[in-house]
Amino acid sequence: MRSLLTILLITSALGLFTPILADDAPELTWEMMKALDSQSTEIPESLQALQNQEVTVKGFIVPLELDEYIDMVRDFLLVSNPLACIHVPPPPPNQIVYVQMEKAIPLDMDFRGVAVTGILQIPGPDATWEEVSFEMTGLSAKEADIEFDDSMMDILDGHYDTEIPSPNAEDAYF
Amino acid sequence: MSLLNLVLKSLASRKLITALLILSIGLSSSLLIGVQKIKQSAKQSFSQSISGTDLIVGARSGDIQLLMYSVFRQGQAVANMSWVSVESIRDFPQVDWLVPISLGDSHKGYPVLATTRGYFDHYRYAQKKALSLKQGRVFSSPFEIVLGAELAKTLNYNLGDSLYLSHGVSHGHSHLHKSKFTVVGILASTATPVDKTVHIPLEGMTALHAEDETEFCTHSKLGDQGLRPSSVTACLLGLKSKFSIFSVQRRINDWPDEALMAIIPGVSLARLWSSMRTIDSAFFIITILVTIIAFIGLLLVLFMSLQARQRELAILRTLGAHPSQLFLMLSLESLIITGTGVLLGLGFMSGLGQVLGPILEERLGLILSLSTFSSTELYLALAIIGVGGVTSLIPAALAYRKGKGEGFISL
Amino acid sequence: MSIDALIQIKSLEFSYPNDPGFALNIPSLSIEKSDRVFLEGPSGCGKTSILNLMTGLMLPQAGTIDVLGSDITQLSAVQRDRFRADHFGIIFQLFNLIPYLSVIENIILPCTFSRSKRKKALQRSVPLGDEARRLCQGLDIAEELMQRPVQQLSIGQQQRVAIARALIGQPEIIVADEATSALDDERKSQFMELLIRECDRHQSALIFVSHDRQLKSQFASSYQLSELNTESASVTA
Repeated sequence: MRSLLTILLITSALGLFTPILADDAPELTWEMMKALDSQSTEIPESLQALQNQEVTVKGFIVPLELDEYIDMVRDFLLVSNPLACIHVPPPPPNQIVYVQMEKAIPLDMDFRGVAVTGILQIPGPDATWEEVSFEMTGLSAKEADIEFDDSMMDILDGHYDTEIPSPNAEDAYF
Repeated sequence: MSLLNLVLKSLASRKLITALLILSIGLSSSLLIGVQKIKQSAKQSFSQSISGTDLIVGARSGDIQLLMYSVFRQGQAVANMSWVSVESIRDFPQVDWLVPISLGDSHKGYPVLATTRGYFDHYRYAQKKALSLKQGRVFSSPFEIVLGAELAKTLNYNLGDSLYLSHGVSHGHSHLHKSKFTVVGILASTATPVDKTVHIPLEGMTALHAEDETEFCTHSKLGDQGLRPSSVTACLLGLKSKFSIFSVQRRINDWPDEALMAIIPGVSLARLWSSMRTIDSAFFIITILVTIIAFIGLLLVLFMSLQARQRELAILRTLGAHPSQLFLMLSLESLIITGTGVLLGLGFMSGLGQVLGPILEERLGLILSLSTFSSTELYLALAIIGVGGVTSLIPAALAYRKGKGEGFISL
Repeated sequence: MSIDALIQIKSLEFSYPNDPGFALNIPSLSIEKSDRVFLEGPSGCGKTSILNLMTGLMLPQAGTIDVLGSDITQLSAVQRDRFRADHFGIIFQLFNLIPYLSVIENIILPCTFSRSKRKKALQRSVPLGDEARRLCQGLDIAEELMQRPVQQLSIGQQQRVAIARALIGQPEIIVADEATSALDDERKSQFMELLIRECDRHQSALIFVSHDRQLKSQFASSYQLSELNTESASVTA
C-alpha cells in the first residue's frame, strides 16, 4: 500500500511538471513578424535567433490541402485574422505563415483560431523553391511544421488577442 | 447441450417475435450505417477531386457554385470569362501555370471539358496525385479526344473510335455537332469526375461553335489564331509562391475590366462542408433516434419474455442454474438478436448500395463506394451490438434477482 | 444417527422475511443412505421450505444441514447451486418440463448445469442422447416420442420424462415434490412403481414429499412435518 502511494505521488508530480516543460516554445507574434522585409534577402537580427527553432504562432487557418474526409487539414496558411472582411486589405507576405503539418489536424479546431508550434524556417538568400524574386526573397512569413500543441486552446478561449493588426502602408503588397 | 444451445432453442420457439426484432434492428442499423457511409463517401469524393491548385478563377458568382461546376461539372456557370482576362491573368508575375477549362457540351450525357494540354500536367487529385494515361496520348490537334476511364469502359470506346458531341448537357441527342472527333487517349481511373469526362482541346470547342463548322477541318492545329476561344468557363491557377495567394486573389476579385472571382479550393471546400453540417447533424440525430426506437422494442420484448418465462427460469434454477447463468442467457439472447440484426442490416445496405449507388452518382456527380466496408462502419456495427448487450442488462439483472429468490415455492 | 447419514439436519431455524406467521424449527432430522423417506404434511406447513433448505436454494437463519458429509450452510451461493446440480435429481408437479425442448433434450438438461452428472452419464453411454434413450427404455417411453416436443405428450408420459430427467447422471438423492398430485389413481400407482424401481436400481435415496397419505405405505420411513417442526404448534393449518 505504501509503495502504491509513493508511485501515485511521483506520477502526479511528473504530471504537473510536464506541461511546464512543454510550454517552452517561444511565441512568434505577428508584431515580431513585421520586422521581416519581404524585399530583402536578409533575416533581421530580431528573428535570427528563431531560425530553425521551435516556436508557437497563433492565428487562423486558411486551408490549402484537406484530407480525404474534409475533417483534417495538413497544409494551410496561418493568418492573424479570420479574413472575414472584404474591405480589409489582404495580409502581406510577412503576415502569413505557410504551415505543413507532420500530422493532419482537425479542421474545426480553427473556430477560435489555433496556436501552431513547430520548427520555424525563414528561407535565406539561397531559398530555392521560390522563383519570383520580389515575392520571395527574404521570405517574410514563417514555415512551421510538426506538432500541434493542444493545451493552448484554453488560453485562446480567454486570452486571444482580438485586435486586428492593420498592415502599414509600406507593408501592403499592392 | 450448452447454454448457447438452450438460448438458441428458446429463440427458435418464438420465431415470429425473434424475426420481427431482427428485422427492426437490421433496418435501423442499415439506416444508421448507410447514412454515415453515404456522407463519408460523398466527403471523400468531394475532397479527392481537387488538389494542388492554388486558385480557381471564373465569372463572379457564388464561390461554392464555381467549385461545383469547375471541379464537379455540376450546375452551370453564370457567365463566362473572356479570353482577354485569361491572358492577362496568365501574365501575372506570380502565376506559375494556368489551365483554362470550358464546359457546356456533352456526349451521351457525359460532360465535355475543353482545355489545354497543360491540364494533364497540372491537374491533381486525391492529395497530389497526377493524371496518367492508361492508353494512348494527350490530344495534339483540335479534333482529338482523351476519355475518362469510366466513360470509356461503360460506352466501350477504344483508341481510334470516332465520336460526335452534342450541344448542351441534356441527355438526348439534340443538335449533334457535325465535327467528328477521334479518341487518342484514355486516362487511368481516378475515382473522381474526371473518369466520366470527355476531354477535348479548347480549339476543338471553338470549332464546334463556329458559325460554319465545316470551316475547320483536321488540318487545323492547336494554337491556330482562328481557333482561339473568345471565352472560357474557368481557369485553374498554380502560383509560384503560396504567399501570393491572397494578393492574386484580391487582384482578380477587384479586376476592373470584368466581373471575376478567384477562390481558394481548400477554403471553399471546407465552407461547403460546414454549410452541410447542420443537415449532416440532423440526419445523424434522426438515424440515432430510429435505432433507439428499435432497441426500445428489444427491451420491451425482453421484459415481456421475462414475465412469461418465470416458470422456466425457476425450473432451471432448481436444476442447478446459478442466477448468473440466467443473466448470461438473457444477455446472449439479446446479443444474438442484435448481432444477427446488424449483419442483416449490413447485407441489406450493401445490396441497396449496389442498386442506389449508380443513381446517386449520376445525380450528384460523385463517385461513391457504397458496397465496400470501411473501419468506421465496422465500429458502428460493433457499437450497435454493444448497445444490444447493454439493453439486456436490466432484464438480465432482473432475471438474476428473481432467480435468487426462486425455489420450490413458486412451482 | 449413523455415519452413513445422507442428510443430517441439526437445530434448524428458518423463517421468511415477509411472512411473520410462518417459522420452521427442527431440532434434528436424519435421513440414511438408500432410504425411502415420505415427508407428509398439508400444504403451507413447510414442506417446500424444507426442500428449499435441503437443496440449498435457501439458507436457514440458524442450524446446520449436512448433505453427503458437507454442511451446505457453509457453502457460497455458487457452490450450493453446483452442489444441488451435482447431487440432486428433482421431480416436481406438472408442467415441469421445458416446453420448447424435445424429450431427449429435457432429459439431458441437468447435464448442462452439472459436470459430474454429465461425466457419470457419459460413463454409462455415449453420447448423452443415448443415455437418455436408455433411461426412457427403462421407463417405457416409446422410441418415437423421444424427438417430439414435450407438449405433445400425455400427462403420464410427461411424468415419466420427469423421472428420467431426475435420474440422469445418477444423483445420490431424488426429491419428489407433490409429484403425483395431478395424476389419477391408476397413473399414480404406475408412477410410484416406476419411481421406486428406478431409485432402487440406481441406488439413489428418495425423499417423497406429499400430502397424500395413501402413498405412505410404500415407504420405509415417514415423517410428519408437524411433528418435526417444533414451531408448528403456533401455526394454524
